Amino acid sequence: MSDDDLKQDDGVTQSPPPKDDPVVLSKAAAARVQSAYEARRAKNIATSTISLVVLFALFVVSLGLGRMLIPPGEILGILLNQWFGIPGDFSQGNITIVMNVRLPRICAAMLCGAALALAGAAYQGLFKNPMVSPDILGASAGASFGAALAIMLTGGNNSVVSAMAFGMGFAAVLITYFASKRVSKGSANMTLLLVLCGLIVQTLFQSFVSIIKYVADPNDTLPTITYWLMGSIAKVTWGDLSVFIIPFILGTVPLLLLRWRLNTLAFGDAEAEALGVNVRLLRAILIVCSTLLTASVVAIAGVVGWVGLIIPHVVRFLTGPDNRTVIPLSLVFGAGFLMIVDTCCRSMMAYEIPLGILTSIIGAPFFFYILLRTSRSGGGSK
Amino acid sequence: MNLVAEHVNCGYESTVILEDVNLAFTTGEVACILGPNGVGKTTMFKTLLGFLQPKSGKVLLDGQDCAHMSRREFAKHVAYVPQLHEPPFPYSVLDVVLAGRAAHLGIFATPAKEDYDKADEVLEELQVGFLRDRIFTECSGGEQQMALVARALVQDPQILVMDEPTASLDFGNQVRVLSCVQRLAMTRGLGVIMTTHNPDHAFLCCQRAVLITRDRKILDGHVDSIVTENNMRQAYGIEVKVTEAISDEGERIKTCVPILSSTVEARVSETRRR
Repeated sequence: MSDDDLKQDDGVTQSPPPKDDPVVLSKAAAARVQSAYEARRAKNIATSTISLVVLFALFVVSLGLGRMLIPPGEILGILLNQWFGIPGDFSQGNITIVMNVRLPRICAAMLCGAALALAGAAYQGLFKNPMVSPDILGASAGASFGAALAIMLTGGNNSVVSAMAFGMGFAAVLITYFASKRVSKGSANMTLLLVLCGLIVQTLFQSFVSIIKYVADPNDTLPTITYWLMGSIAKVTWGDLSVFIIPFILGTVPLLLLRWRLNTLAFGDAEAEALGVNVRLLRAILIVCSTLLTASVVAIAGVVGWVGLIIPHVVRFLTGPDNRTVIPLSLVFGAGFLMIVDTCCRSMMAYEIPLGILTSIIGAPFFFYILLRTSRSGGGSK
Repeated sequence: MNLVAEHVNCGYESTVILEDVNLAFTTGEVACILGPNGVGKTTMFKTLLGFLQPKSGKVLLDGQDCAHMSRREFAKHVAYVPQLHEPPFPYSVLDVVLAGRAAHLGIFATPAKEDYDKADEVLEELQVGFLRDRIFTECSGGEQQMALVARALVQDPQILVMDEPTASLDFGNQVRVLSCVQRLAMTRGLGVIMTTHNPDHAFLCCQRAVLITRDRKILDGHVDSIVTENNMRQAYGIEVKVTEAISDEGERIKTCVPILSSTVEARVSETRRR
């Protein structure tokens, strides 16, 4: 049947569409578009500029804090002097403290925080659930097992521990992925199965860690494992960072580029497919990138909880749920948060507080506050 | 453009639910799919949309086998309006509508100004421009349904597949959605395939009805020849009367009135008493 036939024998449809002047309408529409598109751009530029400036300010202040207090002005001077060769008169001691002791540690804190927050944001989008954290598929549990095993076998050789942690973290997620693929047999509801299989793998690897702890030498190996699992970046060197930066970039860049696609997943896998999204490929990329980030953080810093869960929340609370802003801002906020926490770790008391403990102590009440504010503003995190 | 099912068996894993489905849908035509719960409507729908692979047979889009087509290519021609459900994050209506541009944007791209233009045009076309900056989850059911229609339209499809677009809407909004469907078929020449549980909706805005009966036979044809007293009995096991109302413009509108079995019994006993 051709279109014309249909229109002719279609006797029921007499009511014309309401007569609004189409020209006026489209102009009004155009004006509105202008405001929406441009307003969003302006807002994005403003928020990213502000957050980057604040991050830099925190960076300078953090560099100055510690057992030896150095004022921010002197820190700026030292940085300019060392990076750009701008002359200034600084004591060699302060230069060493800033450049060789504090800077690598602060960079590590920022990179780890950024990585965890980004992985968390990606997973919360992928699993359509704001309660998801980056270790949901077993990356942290696997990495913990790898590290514990390496510590028991080698007695704590740093690079072996890191490599084993990274490898086992990745392996755990692969097991989760293929297990859920096996169960789902290509049917649509892969997301839920991933979470359930993740739970299985996580529990399994946590038991493995317990076994290792149980059989480990209580005078030597056991404390090393325990401290390692509490998380710390106190001993991170430039060498460690130069290795860490590779998975960091490999994980971050695709996630940043896919940030808008992540929005399409919010409606469910079937709907995303109907919108023309290759859900399977997108999911695989998201999982690989997030796992790269999470496993490499565990490899250099141990298990640092909470960051991946709360930072995306904070960002959504401030800017709304659009992943175009949530993803990049999670990077910045995650970096800032872990830098603050780590600065507290090293300067609050005469001895170091393990990073993993302090993120929870600071993170838990902070998260409670955010939830309180969110529910007060009517459930919507706007 | 047409979407054709050729000897398709629909089903999951090892069970075939509907056998040998042969249906062809074209642009410019509004087709209604009717049938009782659990008879395989949704399964057939999922197969047509490519969410499920046919157990045998082919689904063809303009002669091209959909099994060999990318989701992206398919989405440029066929758009899907799902049943209402809450997304987990409070996106704005504009963001929901923009998601419909995914098929036209590169995998790493984000919507540009043209896409915003498109979203606004469509919202104005559906006369819901005022919804743009509202939060989707805070909109009423009728408004959410219109937003989802807008999302499907920015895909620039030729065929629109709607899964019970009137479900969970109040009477007024049901009528509004139906007249929107009709207008889209007329002004844009869209082909619309929709499921509904109300045979009156088929009379109101469709030329064609597909009725799946309780014993899984598929009846396909013009609404007047499909939604009949006999067929409704066969499909649902209920008694109905098909009657006509005449509008102020003198236009005849058919409607389907169910006869409740208790009413029949009451009447019979009443006549007996006389």
